[in-house]
Amino acid sequence: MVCRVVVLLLTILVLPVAAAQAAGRTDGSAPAPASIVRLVTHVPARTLNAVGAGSVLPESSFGVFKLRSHLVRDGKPEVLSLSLAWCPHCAANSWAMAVALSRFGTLTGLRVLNTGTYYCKLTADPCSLKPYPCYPFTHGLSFFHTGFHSAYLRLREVVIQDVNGKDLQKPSHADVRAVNPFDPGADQAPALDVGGAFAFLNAGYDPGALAHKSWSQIAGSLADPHNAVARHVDGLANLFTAAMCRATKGRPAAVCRSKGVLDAGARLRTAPGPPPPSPEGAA
Amino acid sequence: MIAPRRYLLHAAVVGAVCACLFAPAALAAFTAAAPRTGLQRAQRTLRTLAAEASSSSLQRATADAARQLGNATDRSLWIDSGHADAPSYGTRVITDSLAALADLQQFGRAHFAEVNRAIKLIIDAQRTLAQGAISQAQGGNQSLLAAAGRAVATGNRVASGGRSVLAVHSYRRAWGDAFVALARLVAARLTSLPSAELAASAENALGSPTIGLAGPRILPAGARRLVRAGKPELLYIGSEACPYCGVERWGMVVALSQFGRFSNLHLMQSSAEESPHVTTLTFFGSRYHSAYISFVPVEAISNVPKGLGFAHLQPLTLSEKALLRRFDSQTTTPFVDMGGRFVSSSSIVQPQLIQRKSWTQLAGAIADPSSTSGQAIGGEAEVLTAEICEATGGRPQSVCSAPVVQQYEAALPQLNGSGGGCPVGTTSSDGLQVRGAKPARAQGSLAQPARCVTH
Repeated sequence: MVCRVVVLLLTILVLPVAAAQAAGRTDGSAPAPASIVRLVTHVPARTLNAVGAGSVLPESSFGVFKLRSHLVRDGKPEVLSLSLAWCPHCAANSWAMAVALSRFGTLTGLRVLNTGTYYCKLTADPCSLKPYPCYPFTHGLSFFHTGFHSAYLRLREVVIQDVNGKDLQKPSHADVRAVNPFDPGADQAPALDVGGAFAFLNAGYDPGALAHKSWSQIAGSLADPHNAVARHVDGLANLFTAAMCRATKGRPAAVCRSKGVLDAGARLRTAPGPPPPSPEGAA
Repeated sequence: MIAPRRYLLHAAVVGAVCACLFAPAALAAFTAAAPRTGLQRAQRTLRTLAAEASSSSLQRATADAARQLGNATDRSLWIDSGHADAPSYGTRVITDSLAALADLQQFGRAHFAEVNRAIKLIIDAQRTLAQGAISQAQGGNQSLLAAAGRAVATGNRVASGGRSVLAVHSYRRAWGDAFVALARLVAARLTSLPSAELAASAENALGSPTIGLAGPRILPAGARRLVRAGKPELLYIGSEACPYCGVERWGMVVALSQFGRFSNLHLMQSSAEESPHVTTLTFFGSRYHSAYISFVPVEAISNVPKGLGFAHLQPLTLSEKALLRRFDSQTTTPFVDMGGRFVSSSSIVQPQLIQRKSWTQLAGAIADPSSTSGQAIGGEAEVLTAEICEATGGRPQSVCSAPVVQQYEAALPQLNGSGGGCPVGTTSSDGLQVRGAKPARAQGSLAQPARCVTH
């Protein structure tokens, strides 16, 4: 009986990931061209300082929570990201994630992703005369099987479903435990846990800001502090960076004491704790 | 291009094989797979054949036939694997199947087994569809059903003679006749319902937490009245694809039939992609005449998928748009304005109460006061009847003086059920409205995408 339970658990917990890898499945992304990788991972510090908090959405739309735990792996704070390849909100955050992580280390194998129309199919409402904004074909980045080498942080990316809504990677029990305070059951994405110090839920800016923009156009705009997309992406990157700095205890100082990070980090000081568990939500 | 002489030869050869295949046609009718499943099997057979084709013409023809069957089995055209959508949308299943058969007739002697297997599956599916429609329409117009039965017999005969396209034309005629009989049967039942039967179901619905009747928003006495041709106007804005509209129409047809006469009502079903899936009627193309009320139905959205949504059907006038936006910024359907006195922007009952029921089951359910679907339809019919009686000043007396109508008129301000919206005391998760709002969807949520949230 015990053996059967163990086998069942292994089937549920291990096989989806193992099967996805063994079958060579991807989330629908493709390797990012070197030119795009360079633009995203080398946004000038002066631009980030000029943007500061940028145009990040307020609390009512974008959840920023102060946590009281420690998410550590191999002695380093872990950045845990739960995403869905079809989710345009995840695509929006992915640009800022890449910019922020690049300040702490080196990303390898970064990928580009087009979210397609699966979210539109999910949200299509045959009863509404006004189309729901579903941001089809949003261009983002994917960290699926992306490497991250850093002296300060570790990255764990879980892409739960591919671009067509098929299950891809299953969060581990530890992942679910980590995000449970702000994302019960790990059923919402994008969800980001930065070392157990801060958490982010939903998109930091309206994915519509990326509408009709190619990966090159988005990446190419990030160095211009006056560009609207840069103000969204770089502002959110500064906020993510500030949270990462809290997790690394201010290291590296050159990044964590920079003006842009300090400006954006002001929001962290007023961040509430995670919302209390709520019994409602039943339709 | 294939020469006519060669075409005839091919048809004759295919026919000879078909004659062997279809001799036991009556037996096949009982053993055939569900029509959609059968067509999908035929599609798989043709895809395999296309992949292994030895000539480009064979590859093209089988691939094209497989594509046509892909269209015929599109989820949006089916209620379930055994039942296609009602005409006119469901007719596409047959026309696409016919197009596939036309492609298959071009084959030569090679690949007989695979080709004929696919042809047999297609013909079986069409026959089963026609027989299913006839079975559903039992009790309907006898001459139409007899004609449908004859068309099936003709189809069987010509199929056994190898004339597959002609056979499917016969099955299409049978299916169409059966649906005309079915539509008339359902409409006749709904539009001439004995008031005692309606009253019994409606009385059980009142106060039932299972039915959860939602009352309308009652507009102040000084509000501008909605009038057309000197009569109170009932404006309905709906979507054929929407299950909330689907459930609302059953009650509307029953209620309005007490004040006037409908004609040309057609059967319809909500979108197969949206849960719950309900069978219903459409007001598109229908006519209504009443001495007491002007009924203005607008089916704004069709049931035909287009782009990322559904094709538009009937445009709203500027004043209708303004009225809808005034009461519902999200412009959701169904929207009902009863003479400028009562407004509702969701269904009176939940569509789940009538899901997975056929047209005849629902039309018959109202006579059973103990059935949930009968109570749901009876209850929403009496809510609307009470509203209309308020708007017409109690005319006609024969309807408005009925005890159950009076009971509902008195209850209108207290009907606090959730209907098709979020329960009272909750709001949709995007915080749009307190009541009348359908559950909203969370961004990037893996959980049930729609939900209501307690304040």
